[in-house]
Amino acid sequence: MTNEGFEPKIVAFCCNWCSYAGADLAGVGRLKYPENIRIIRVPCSSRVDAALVLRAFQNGADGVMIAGCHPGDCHYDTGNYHTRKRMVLLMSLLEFIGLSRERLLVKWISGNEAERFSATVLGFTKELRQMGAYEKARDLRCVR
Amino acid sequence: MRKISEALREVAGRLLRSGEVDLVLGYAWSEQGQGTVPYVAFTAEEAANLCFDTTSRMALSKYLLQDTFLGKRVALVVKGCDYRALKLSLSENRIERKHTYLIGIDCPMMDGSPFCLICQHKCPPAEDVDILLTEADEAGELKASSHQEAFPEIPSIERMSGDERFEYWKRQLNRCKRCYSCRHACPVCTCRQCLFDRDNQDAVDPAKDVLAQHQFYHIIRAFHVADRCVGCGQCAQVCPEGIPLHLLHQKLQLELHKHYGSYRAGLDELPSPLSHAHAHEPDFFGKVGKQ
Repeated sequence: MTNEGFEPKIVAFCCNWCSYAGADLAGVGRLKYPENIRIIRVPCSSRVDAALVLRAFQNGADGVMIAGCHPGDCHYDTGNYHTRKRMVLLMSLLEFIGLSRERLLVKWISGNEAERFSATVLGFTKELRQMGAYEKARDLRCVR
Repeated sequence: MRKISEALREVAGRLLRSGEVDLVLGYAWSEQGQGTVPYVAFTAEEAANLCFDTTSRMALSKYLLQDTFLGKRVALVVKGCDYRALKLSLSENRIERKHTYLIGIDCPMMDGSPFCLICQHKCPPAEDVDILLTEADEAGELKASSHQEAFPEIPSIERMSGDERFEYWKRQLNRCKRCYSCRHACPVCTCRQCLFDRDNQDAVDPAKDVLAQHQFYHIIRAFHVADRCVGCGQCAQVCPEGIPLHLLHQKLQLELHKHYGSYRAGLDELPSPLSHAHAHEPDFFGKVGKQ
């Protein structure tokens, strides 16, 4: 399979209080990051459950990124502790069932880490370009 | 299992005659002659049909959640795993303990179930049930196998490459007919309204590709019972297509134990590992120093 000219789609769930603010700051600061990313603002990274991640993959995402506050900084105290607990299990299960865990990225990005945000998106996009399109968990409705 | 069956019939008959309970929920011989099936005895005469043997796999505690049994005084036959599931329902206030009479059974291990090989709790605790029936003369220490011996499939699947694993599960999951037997048989899959029964089906499960749908359903279901699974093995047992669904649950259990310590649903104190989270738990996504 050739990955020439392939541009991955990334769905990014960003927590309202940290990562979304970080993305916002990246925009204000005119930091460049790839346009492959589609940001969805969620109240907290723990809002993202297994179903949302799977649906994103089914509906055409090549990678899913979940960005939340650093551990200890959660606006709701323990939200991101739940996120990491849940996502590590989801990753193992995805791997067990033959889907790749590398396409799911969990990252802690705070509100002032605009550079970290843009670097993360850039790095993830590069990785996904290498991996190619994600056909395994794809819904047939989304023919590209 | 003669002794347990006889004792069960006697206890059930006594309870129904005295009017202590309205009905007894147990097992009776299947009319097709293939082991036992769940059975409800309303009268002392019907209690004579009750029996118990090594095919009495179905977990009965889930019946108590049905509206039909609400407000009724029910005597329930519970094995070790079934008791654990019942304990979860009790702790969630789904069942009133004072309305139930528990007939505990020292489970003799079901035929051909890998779960029974690793079962450490065949018998519900004597102090928590109203009466405990045992097959006293057959009591012998049963050899408990290791998890790997009971489920050799898990390490062998883990050794496969990613694509092989995908193909393996594709073969398995593509047979799924979505009959929801696994959901109905599971004693801990007890949401009042299941995610997959919502009116707007498209909102939860929009995939038109059959495999994507089954992946979705089975991953979500495995996740929903991840820290509730009591290891009764009913999901795989009832599957008409013989999909090894229990492997998903067991894999999740192994991961849970690996990362967050051992927790046995229905035996250990609540909260369960996925219903609470703390700062001291391991962070697999790298805490990088803040700028």
